Amino acid sequence: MEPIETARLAKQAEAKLAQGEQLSRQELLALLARMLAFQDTRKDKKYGQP
Amino acid sequence: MSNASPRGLLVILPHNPGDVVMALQAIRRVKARFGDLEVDYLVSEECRELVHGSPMLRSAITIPKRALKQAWNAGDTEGLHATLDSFLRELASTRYALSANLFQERSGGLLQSFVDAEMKIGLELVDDRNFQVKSRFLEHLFAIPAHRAGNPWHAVDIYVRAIARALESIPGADAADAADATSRTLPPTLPPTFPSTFPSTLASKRSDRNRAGNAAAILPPFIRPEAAKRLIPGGYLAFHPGSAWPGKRWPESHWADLASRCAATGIPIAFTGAPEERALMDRILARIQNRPTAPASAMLVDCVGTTTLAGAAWICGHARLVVTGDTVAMHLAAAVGTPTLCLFGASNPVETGPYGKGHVILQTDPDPLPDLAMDRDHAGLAHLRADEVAAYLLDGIPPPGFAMWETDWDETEAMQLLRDRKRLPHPSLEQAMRLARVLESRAEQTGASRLKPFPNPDGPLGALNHRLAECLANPSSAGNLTALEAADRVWSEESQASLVWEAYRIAINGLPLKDLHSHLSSRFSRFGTALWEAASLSRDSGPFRNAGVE
Repeated sequence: MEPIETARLAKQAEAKLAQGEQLSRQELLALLARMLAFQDTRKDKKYGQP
Repeated sequence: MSNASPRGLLVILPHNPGDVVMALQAIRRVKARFGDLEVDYLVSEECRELVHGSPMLRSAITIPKRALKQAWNAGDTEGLHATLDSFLRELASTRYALSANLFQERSGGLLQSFVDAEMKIGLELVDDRNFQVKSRFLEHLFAIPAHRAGNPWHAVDIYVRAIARALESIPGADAADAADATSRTLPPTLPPTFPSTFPSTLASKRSDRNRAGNAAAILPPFIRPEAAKRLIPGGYLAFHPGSAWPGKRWPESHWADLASRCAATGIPIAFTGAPEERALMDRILARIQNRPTAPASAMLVDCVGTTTLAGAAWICGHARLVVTGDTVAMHLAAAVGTPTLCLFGASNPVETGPYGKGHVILQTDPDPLPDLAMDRDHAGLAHLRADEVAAYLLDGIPPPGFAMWETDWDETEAMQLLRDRKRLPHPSLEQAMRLARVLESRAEQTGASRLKPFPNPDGPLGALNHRLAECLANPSSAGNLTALEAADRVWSEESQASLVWEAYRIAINGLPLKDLHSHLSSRFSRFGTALWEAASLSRDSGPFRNAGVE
């Protein structure tokens, strides 16, 4: 269950960036949150944590 | 945002592990040049243990990925924003003299926009819509992802030059010698710890003390993993058979064969790897055990999936020699000064090979500028037989039919280069020298660029190529931008993107323009927007500049 409004803002921010449109601060934060939480970890193998 | 005076350097390169180790090697060189420089590091949770506790760093800031992901998946909007706010406050709490974003992903550019720094280099969201790449050397790094086969620089050397040049340009920076604007006097990385007659090191332990010093200078203290209790420092080989990328993996049957041959001579083998590589390791062990002359189990020390990164570093750091593909094990071993034999398939050893003098690289692609298809098995790697690698490891007989490179250090250019068995430099070196001349404006001093002329066929792309060639012939001309923009307007009718500076970056790197369109398409889909030229000073630019949480 993702945070609906934040997810919507992140998606909107992606679309705006692709079009070179201006982002709001809320859109920027939503995009950053999604990127940091779901960064591609395909190469990022999970070694044991100390 | 902090009101304190700017101090120190922030390095942004959160992952992957091998990249983090390369960034640490760059920091070591930069700190050798700027003695009192304080350095902070922005790191992912996965790579945290590689930097937390490093003697080179003042502090490390960790991205709270797990907490963000947990809050997101739970639909916890309040928790999500509280976690993000706390992280961004920490990020903006220090005012840096310089922030260096070495991360070629958009998240790095977003993060950089929240940093409070007098100067920023690397990708940044500079206003409400545009990413920019700042610093000429980082332009080079960001120009190459689609053309990494032809990149002539090692990533560490790019990082060092970009950071050093930026630090030197800051008024009042603590440069040890501000008059030296070229960074050429930066010392090489770790001192060589073994001779170029590589296999003879199998019988030598004399570099162990150097390695311990090297490790202590860069990495946090090692902790010997439980799985490595039986290993005698300097008395075993470490094998790292896995890789996240199929194009970097030597076939598991070959690893089994090589391990059997080496163990049969009485040399124990320690295997390292991540938990995800457990199944691969099990298959390798099964193949070994099915051989008619399987080595005693005591000769094989299986540490795959049971160690942390620091544990893997201990194993690689204390091995007599590490055999690996282009992996984190290679970078960890190189950072410490452990000799490595690296089997390169679908990656460019010039750009991401082991950093340090005297490592040996077997390149299985017949083209020195290889096909970088990392997401599929590499045919050349399969053709490199285990008995050939064993013959080299045990008897010093080079495998016939494969390029063998040794890492070397160019004192004049202060950069790593590769040499073949006849001591001839890798073909990319000439390109690197041309690039250095252009980037350091020495082309202007000598009167002409030595970059190759580009073809000039009819059509918009030909016109753009022609303009680019003119820019290269006379990089300082004030009319360059106007001419390029005019050509770009026509070109954009075909490409549907106004990316002239991307083309310029490709051109100054001497890369073939035949792949220009694919490069631009890749770049555009990756960033969703063009990358534009920017002034190097960023302090007052853009509404998101220093946009810490209010």
